[in-house]
Amino acid sequence: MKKSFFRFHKSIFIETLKRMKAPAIILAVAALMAGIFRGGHLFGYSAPAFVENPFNTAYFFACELIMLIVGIHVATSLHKKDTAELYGSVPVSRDSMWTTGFVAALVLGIGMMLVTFIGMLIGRLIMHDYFSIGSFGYNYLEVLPALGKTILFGIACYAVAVIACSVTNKVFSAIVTIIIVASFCMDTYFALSVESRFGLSLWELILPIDAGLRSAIGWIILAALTAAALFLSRKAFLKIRTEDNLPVKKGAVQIIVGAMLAANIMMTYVNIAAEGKVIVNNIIFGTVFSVIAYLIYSIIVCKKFALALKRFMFYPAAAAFCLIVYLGSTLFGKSYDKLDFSAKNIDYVEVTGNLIDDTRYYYSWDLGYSSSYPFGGELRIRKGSGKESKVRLDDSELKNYISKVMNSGWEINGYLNTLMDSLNFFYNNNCKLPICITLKDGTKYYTDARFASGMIDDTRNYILDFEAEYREALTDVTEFEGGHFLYMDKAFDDIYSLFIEELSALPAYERLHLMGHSSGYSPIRTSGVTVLRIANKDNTIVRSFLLSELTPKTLEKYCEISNKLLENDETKLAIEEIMSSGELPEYYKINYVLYDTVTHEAFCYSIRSADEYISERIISYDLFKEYFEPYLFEGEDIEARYDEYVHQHLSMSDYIFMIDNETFKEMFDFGDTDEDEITELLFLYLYGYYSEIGSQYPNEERIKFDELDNGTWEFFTGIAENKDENSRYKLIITSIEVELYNTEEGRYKGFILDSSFGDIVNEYPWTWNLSDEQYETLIDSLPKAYPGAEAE
Amino acid sequence: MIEIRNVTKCYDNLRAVDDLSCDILPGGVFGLVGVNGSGKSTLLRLISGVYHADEGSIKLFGEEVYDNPEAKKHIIYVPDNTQLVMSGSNMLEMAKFYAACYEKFSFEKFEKLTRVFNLNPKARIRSFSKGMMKQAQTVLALSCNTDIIMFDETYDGLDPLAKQIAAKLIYAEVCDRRACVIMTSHSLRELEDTCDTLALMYKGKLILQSDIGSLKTTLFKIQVAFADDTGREAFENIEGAELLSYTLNGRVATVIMKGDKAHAEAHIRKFNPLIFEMLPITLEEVFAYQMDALGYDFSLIMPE
Repeated sequence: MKKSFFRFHKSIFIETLKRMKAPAIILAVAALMAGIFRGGHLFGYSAPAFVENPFNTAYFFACELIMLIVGIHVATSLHKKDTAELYGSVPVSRDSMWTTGFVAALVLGIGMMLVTFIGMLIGRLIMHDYFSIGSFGYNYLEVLPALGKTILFGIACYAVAVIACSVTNKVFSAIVTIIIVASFCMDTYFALSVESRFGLSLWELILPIDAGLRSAIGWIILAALTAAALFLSRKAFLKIRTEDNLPVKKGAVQIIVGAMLAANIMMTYVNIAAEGKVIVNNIIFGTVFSVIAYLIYSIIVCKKFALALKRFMFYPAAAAFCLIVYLGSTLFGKSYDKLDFSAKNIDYVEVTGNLIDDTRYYYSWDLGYSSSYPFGGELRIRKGSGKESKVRLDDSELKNYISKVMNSGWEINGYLNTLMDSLNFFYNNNCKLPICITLKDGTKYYTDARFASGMIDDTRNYILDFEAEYREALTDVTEFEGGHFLYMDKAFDDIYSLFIEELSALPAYERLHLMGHSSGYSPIRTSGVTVLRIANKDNTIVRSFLLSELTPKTLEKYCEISNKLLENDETKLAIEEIMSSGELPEYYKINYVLYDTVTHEAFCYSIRSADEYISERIISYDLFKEYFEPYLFEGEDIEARYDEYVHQHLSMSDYIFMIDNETFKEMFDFGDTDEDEITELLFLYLYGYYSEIGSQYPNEERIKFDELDNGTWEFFTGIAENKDENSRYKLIITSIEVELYNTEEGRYKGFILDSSFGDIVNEYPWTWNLSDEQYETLIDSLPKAYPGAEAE
Repeated sequence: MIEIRNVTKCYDNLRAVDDLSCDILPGGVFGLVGVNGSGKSTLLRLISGVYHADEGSIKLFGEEVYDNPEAKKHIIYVPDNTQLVMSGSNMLEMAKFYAACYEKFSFEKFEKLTRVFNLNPKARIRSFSKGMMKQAQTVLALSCNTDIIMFDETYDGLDPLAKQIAAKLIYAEVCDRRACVIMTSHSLRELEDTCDTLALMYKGKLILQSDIGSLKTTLFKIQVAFADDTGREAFENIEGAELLSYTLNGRVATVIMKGDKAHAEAHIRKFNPLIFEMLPITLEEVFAYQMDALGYDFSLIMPE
C-alpha cells in the first residue's frame, strides 16, 4: 500500500479554512481588539512585563484558541455525521488529513498572531503619544520567545484537541477530556515555572544552572513535549473509528486521563510556596479530593464499580507525579539551606542573560527588600554598564544586602532602570532579572530579582557615578547629528542643528549634566515642564531635555517659535480673556519657567489654587520631623527633605500615612524579626513607598496644606499686558489650567493650555516678558513649602 | 475488480456484515437488496474505506482499500443521506474539491450533467431540496469518472423523471466506460430494471447473488390445467428441470420450475393439458422461490 505520509492536501486545507471561517472571524475581531487595547503592553511602557510575564501567551489567546478549534474540527471530521462519509471515502489518507489540519491550524494561529500584532500597532498608533519609537526595537526582539511559546502552546492545543476528539465523539466527553488534559499541562507548566517559597520557580530548583542554559533546556523540553503530543495526536487520529467512535485502546486512554485529573487536583490544592504545616494539610486534602475524583471518573467511564476499583491501581502513578514535584522542592530546599550567603562569603554577583539590548540602552539597577508581598525598599545597589552583556556587581554594599536578604529567606526585589525609564515608558512590577550569586568557593546560586522602574531620581544620580566609558557614551552628541526632535511641530526643525551645535560646544561635564540628567521626572520637574526629546536618525537613541535646561540660543528661538504658533490659538485666547476679565477662577494651575537671559539660569515652578484633595494628603512638618528624623542619614537636612516631600505631593497628589512598628509587624507578619531591623524596614517602606499604597491602614494622620492664595493669580493677570521685548527676564508658561464658574451659563468652564502629553510636555510654551520688578514680585510670591504648612 | 473475502464488521454485539465474500466485476450494475439493517450500507462503507473491517479483506484492483488513497481513487461513494456534499458549499466548490481528490474529474461532464438536471452550480447546496441534493451528488459522483461508483439507496428522493435520467446516465457510465456501478435498495422493483447482477443481503450475509438475465431465464412460470386428475407428479422428475413451486387453484395449477424450459414443456405436454401457458416471471417471484429453495422465508427477508 502506498502511503501518503505527511502529505499536504490543498483541497482539504481550503475546506478546513472555509469551515473555520466563523470562529476565525470572531477570534480575529477579539484578537484585534485585544491587540489595540494591549498595544501599550507590547510596544510601550509595560513591555518588560509582557516579555517576562509567564502568562504572556494569553496575549495571543486567539492563536491558541483557533488551533484548538481546528484540532476539534479535524478530529471530528471523521466522526461527525455530516462529514464522516465524505472524509472517509475520498482518496485522501488520514495522514494527509492530519497534516493538512495541522498546517491549517498553524496558518490560522499565525494569522491570529498577526491580527493581534496589527491591533497592537493600531493601538500604538492611536496612543502614539505615549510610546517612543525607539522602544519598538527593544521589544520586538524580546517578544520573540513569547511568540515561540505561544505557537508551541497552540500546537499543543491542536494535539490535545485531536487526541480528545479522536478517542470519543461524545461532545461532553471530548470537552471534559480537553479540559482535564489542558489543565494538567498548564498546572504542571506553572508548577514548574512559577515561584516556590524560595522565590524561585520549581524549574529553577530542579535545574540550578545558568539561566541561559536552563532556558535552553526548558525550550527543548517544551518543544519535545509538544512534539510528543503532536505525535500522539497523529496516532490517535489514524486510529479513529468512524463506525462506533471508540478508540482502540479506550481503557489506556481513560486511565491516563483519570491520572491527569487526579494529579491536576493535587497540584491545584497543594501550594508549594506554603509553609510546612500548610503544605501537609494541602497534601492531605489534595489526596482525598483526587482519590474521590479519580474514582468518580473511573465509575463514569467504566460504568462498572468493580472495574473502576480495579482501575484504582493506577492512581499511585498520579500521586507519584506530584510527589516528585514536592520532593524536588524539598530536596532543593535542603541544599539551599547549606549555602553560606554571608557577605564575607559572596565573591560577586552577576546579572545574567541578555534581557536588555546593550547596544541601545544603559541601565543601572537597585535592590530592595521583599517578603511575600512585593513591596520594595530603598535603593542600595547601583552599577551597570551599557557595553557588557553581563553586569558584574561586586561592591560591599551589595554583598551585605544579598547576605541580609538571602539569610532571612526573603526574595530579592530589584529595580531596573533604563534611560528609557526616564521617559516613563517602562513602568512595570512584574519582571524578573536573572542574577547569579557566586560564592567564594565558586558555588553559583541563581535567582531572579524582581525589578520594576522607580526611584528614577536616585538612579539618575548613580548614573553619574558610572565609569568613564559610559559617561562618554552618554555625552556623545555626534550620534545625534542629522537627527531630529521627536513629537514636535515641524516649525522647530530649524533649531535642531542649533541645539546640537550648542550642546557640542558645552564643556563635557555640563553636557553630562544635561544629557545624563534629563528625565523630565522629579518632584518639581513634573510640574508641567516642557520636555524636548531628541532622537538620532533611526530613532534608536532618544534623550530628553527639560525646557529650563535648554541651551540659551535654542531656548530663545524655541520661545519665539512657540509664541508664533500660539498666536491664534483659541484656548490661549480664551484664557487671556479670562485673565483680562478680572474674574477669579475656581481653580487654576500654572507651570512655568523663569528665565534669566543674562545668566541663562532657568528655574521651574508650579503654582495652583488651594486644592483640598491634595492638601488633605500631606502630613504636617512636625509629624514628618517626628517620624523621619531618626532615620535621616548623617548630614541630611530634614527641612529640605520635607520641602521635597511637599512639592512632590503638590504635583503628584499622592498618599502618605503613618504607622508604628507594631502595626507594621502585624501587617506583614514580621513576628520574630529583630526590632532594629523592623525599624529600618519600616523606614524603607514608608519613605520608599508612601506614594504607592492607599489609605487602607490605620493610624493615618494628615494635615491640610493651604498656603497658595489668589494673589498669585492676580499677579499673573496683572503682567499679562507687559510687552517689553527687551526685558531681561522671561516667564515661560509651559502649562496652564483654568476653571471658572460661568454664572450666565450656570456651569463650570475649563481651559487647559497644554499638549496631549499632559504634565510632561507642552509643545508650545507661552512666553511673556517680565520687568525687573515683576520678576522680583513673582519670586516673592512663590509658595514656600516649608514652613508654611500648618497642622490642622 | 472488487474482491471481498470473509469480511466481518461488528457494532458491539451486532454482526452487521458476517463473514461475507464476493467478487464484483467491471462493466455492470451490481444491485444489493435487503431489508433495513441487513448490512447493505455497512458493506458499501467498508468497500469505500469509510469503515475498517474487523476481519477479512476488501481489495480494489488488488489493493487494500482502507486508508489507501491509491485504491480509493477508483471509487466514489454516494451515501444514503446527503453527506457527499458540504451543505455550506455550492456545487462548483464541491466540484473543485472532488477535482482535487479525483484525477479523472471532468468539469466538462460536470457542466453537462448540471444542465441535464437543471441545477444551478453556484447555488448553495443547503438551499436544495432533498431530491436536488441527491441529483447534485449524482452529478458530482459521475463527474469523478471513477471505475467504481457506489450509490446507497440510489433513487431515494428522486422524482420519476430524475430517476429515469439517473438510470440512463448510470447505463451510459457502464456502456461507455465499462464502469462498475453498485446500487443498494430495499426495493427489488427499483433495481429490477437497472441491474445486471443482484445480490440479496440478510443479517449481514449475502444469501443470493446472480445476474438477472440468467435468473430470469433459468426460472419459468407455467399456468396449466388438465382434464383429468393429473397433479403435481406431472412436474416432478423431469430431466433437466426442477420443480420449485406448485400451486393448485381449482383445476388451474401455477408451477414454477428451474432448468431446461423446452424439455419441461415437452414433458408436460405429454399429459395433454387443456391450458398450457408460459407466464412472465417477476424478479420478486424469482427471489421468493430461490429463497424458498434455500430454506429462507422470503416474506421475512423482503416484507414488501
